[in-house]
Parts: sequence; structure tokens; C-alpha cells
Amino acid sequence: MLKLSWWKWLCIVLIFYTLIEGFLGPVPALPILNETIRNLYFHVTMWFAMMILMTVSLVYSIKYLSKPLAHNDTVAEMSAKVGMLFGIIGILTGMIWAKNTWGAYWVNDAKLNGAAAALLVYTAYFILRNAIEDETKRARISSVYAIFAFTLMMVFIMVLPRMTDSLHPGNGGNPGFSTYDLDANMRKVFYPAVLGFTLLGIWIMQLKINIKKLQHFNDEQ
Amino acid sequence: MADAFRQDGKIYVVIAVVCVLFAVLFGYLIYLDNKINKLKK
Amino acid sequence: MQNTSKIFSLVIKEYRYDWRSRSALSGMLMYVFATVFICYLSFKNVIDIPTWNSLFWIIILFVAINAIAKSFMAESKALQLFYYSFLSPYHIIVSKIIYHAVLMFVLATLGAFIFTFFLGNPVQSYLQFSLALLLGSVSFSSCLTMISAIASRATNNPALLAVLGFPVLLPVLTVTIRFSKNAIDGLAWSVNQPYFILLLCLNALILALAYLLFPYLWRE
Repeated sequence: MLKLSWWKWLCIVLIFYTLIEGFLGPVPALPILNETIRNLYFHVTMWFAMMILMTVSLVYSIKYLSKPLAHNDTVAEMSAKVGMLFGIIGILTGMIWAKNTWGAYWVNDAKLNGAAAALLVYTAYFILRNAIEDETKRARISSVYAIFAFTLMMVFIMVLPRMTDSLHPGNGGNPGFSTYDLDANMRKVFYPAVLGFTLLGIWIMQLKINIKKLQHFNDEQ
Repeated sequence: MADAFRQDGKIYVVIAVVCVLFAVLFGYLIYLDNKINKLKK
Repeated sequence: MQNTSKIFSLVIKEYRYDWRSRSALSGMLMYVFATVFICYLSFKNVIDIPTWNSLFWIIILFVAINAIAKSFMAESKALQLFYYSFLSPYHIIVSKIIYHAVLMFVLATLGAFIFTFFLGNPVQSYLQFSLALLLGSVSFSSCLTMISAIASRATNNPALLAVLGFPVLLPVLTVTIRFSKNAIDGLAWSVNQPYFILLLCLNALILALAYLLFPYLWRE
């Protein structure tokens, strides 16, 4: 039988559940949004998964500074990569959704800007990693930058949108996503979706980490 | 809303397509997983 | 007290270092003047308030990046070794941040004067605007000094500083611009206060992070 860990099976089950229930399940019939609210299961899920992976990256960057093991740095790097992938998917799905409901691919909105800024920070992080040759130095410097930049980024994403009006659902009086607004039916699909996609992110991250370790092993021989 | 879609049964086509897509992706992921685990040993 | 005197002497040393070769300082002044002049030529007095505000802060941003870029790169290896053996990293980073903050404040105020000279002065509340200048300078300086330290440890590529710095400066920049805009419009303090507190907190966060993280960079 396929020797997969239990959480990988859980990931597969959850994602298929999301896919099927996401399309078949009942959703509230809101004006303008209509059926597109189902995109919430995927678009917002991507952002949540990205936030979780970003936190993982941050934690492992801190871990690296306290205990300089190559493993910690590898985890920090790979979780950042997968997080960036999810972030890109999140922005693309968001743009499609925006075009459909708001009429434009991009609007001047605090959350969107925060999202773009987050991807900028990630890109800068990878450019920095590429710029340093020595392995230990690279790990140390990029960990410092990661802690500095990601902390500020999280502040930027969380704090600023709350202070201003925004087109995004849940801020500035728009109906939509908040803990009190989210329909009970949608929650049944949404939370498993977040868990499923996060596990998927971790799975991909683990594969990448193993590949890197194997390459390292190969180089040393 | 997409009720017309559901009446025709077309919603199942959507779900089937999406599920097939993800099944293939997962198959690839599992294949990679096994290959890497084998290499690790 | 020994700590503050050490930091103070370091700040003075930075000042003297720049003042000895005036080229760096005069270069920055020319940069401020040149950018303001270019903006004046392109806009020719037809400028509304939000544009005035944003343009001003973008110029200050570029001036800051230019001014702080050279700080860590200029020192030679021997000098760095000397500092490493004698001084704790905290002194280095605090003194650099203080010096750059003062420098930025001077440049920002100067920039503001030149800006009003060319493009008119819509500022309603001078107190709040100067507060914006002060806080903006301090936050730019602390952020950029930290990023400059990081970038100098990588390959000595000045472009890297800009690449690393812009995303990190975005939150500070947006809050500063909004705060300054409210100051220009002359809104009551109660409206502006959240932004002021936010800027203070952001600054505190950046300073705390810099304080904690710099020693890791300094180990060489």
C-alpha cells in the first residue's frame, strides 16, 4: 500500500471534501456575489494558508538564530517558497473574483496593497538569499531580514486595513467575511479547507526540504 | 444563482473535472513522495 | 552613564566623518534640491494637496535611501575590526540610528523649505507637520539603517539596499503620508492622533527589532 503518513491522507480527504462540498453545498444568496461566494473557499483559504506558512518561516528563522542548524534555515526557506506560491495563487484568484464582482482587476484597497507588499517582501527575501554565497552567512543574514521584514509585514496586513475603509468584505461596513458574518454552512467547508490546503503546503514543503537535503548529500560526495 | 446549472446536472460535470484534476495532481505528489523516500534510504 | 557617553561620542564621530569629506553631505543637499527642482519643472505649480504631500514624501524617501546607503559600506575592514573588538554592537547601531535620524530630520526640513519655495505652501498646521517630519525621519532612519546593515553584509550592491528597503518601508511610508496629509489639511488633533500613536508604535517596534537583531549581523 502507499506508505503515506496519516496527515497526508487527511490532506487528500479534506481537499476532496472541500472541492465537492464547495460546489454542492448551500451558500447564502447575497446580492452581486451570487455563486461566486464559493470562491471564498479557495481564495481566502490560500491567504490563511500563506499566513500560516509565513509564521512557520518566521518561527524557523528565529530558531535558526538561536540554534544555527542547517535544518532550521532550510525549513524557513522552503516554507517561504511555498507560502509565496500560495500568495500568488491567492492574488490571482482574488483578481479574477474582483473583475467579476467589483469590475476591475485591481482597486486601491488596503488589503490588496498589503498583499502586494507581502509578496514584495518575499521577493526581496529570495533576492537577498541569492546574493550571498557563503551558506552560514546566507542563513544568518536572511534570518535577520526575515524576522525584521515579516514582522513589519504582518503588522501592515493586520493593523492598517482595520483603520481605514475598504472595499474588501468585512471592513468598512461591507457584508462578508468576519467571524460573525460567515454563514454556518460555509464554515463547515471553510475550516476544513484551510486545514487541508495548509497540510498540502506542508507536504510540498517537506518534499522540497528532502530534495534539498538529498542534493546536499550528493554534492558532498 | 446557478440553479439552472444544477437542474441540468451540469454541476456534476464541474465537480468531476475539478476532482479529476486534483486526483492527478495528488497522484503526482504521491509518486514524488515515494521516489524521494526511496532515495533517502 | 558610560553607555550614553560612548554613544554620544560615536554620534559625534559619525558627524565628523561626514563633515571632513563634505562631498557626501553636499551630494545629499544637491540631491534634495535637484529632485525638488525636477518636480517643479514637471508640474509647474499646478499641484493639488495630495500630490504635494505624496511627492514630498517620495522625495524624502529617495533622499533617505541615498543618504543611508553609504553608512555601513564606507568603513574599511580594519576599522570594522577595531570597532568589533572595542564596542558592543548596541552602541554601534544606536549611534548610527541617532545620527541618521538627525541627518534625515535636517534634510527633511530643508527639503520642506525648498519644496514650499517652489511649489507653494499648503500646510495648515505647522506643529503637526513638523511632528510628521520628525517621526518620519526617525522611522525612515531606523528602518534603513537596519536594512543597510543587512545589505552591507551581502555583496556590496547598492541596488540591494533599495530592493530590501522598499517593502519594509511601505507600512511606515503609508502611515507617515496619511499623518502628514491630515496635518496639511489642518485637521484636529483628535483625528490625527491614531496615526501619531501608530507611527510611535511602529517606530518602537522597528527600534526593538533592530536592537535585538543587530548583534547577529555584527558577528563577523
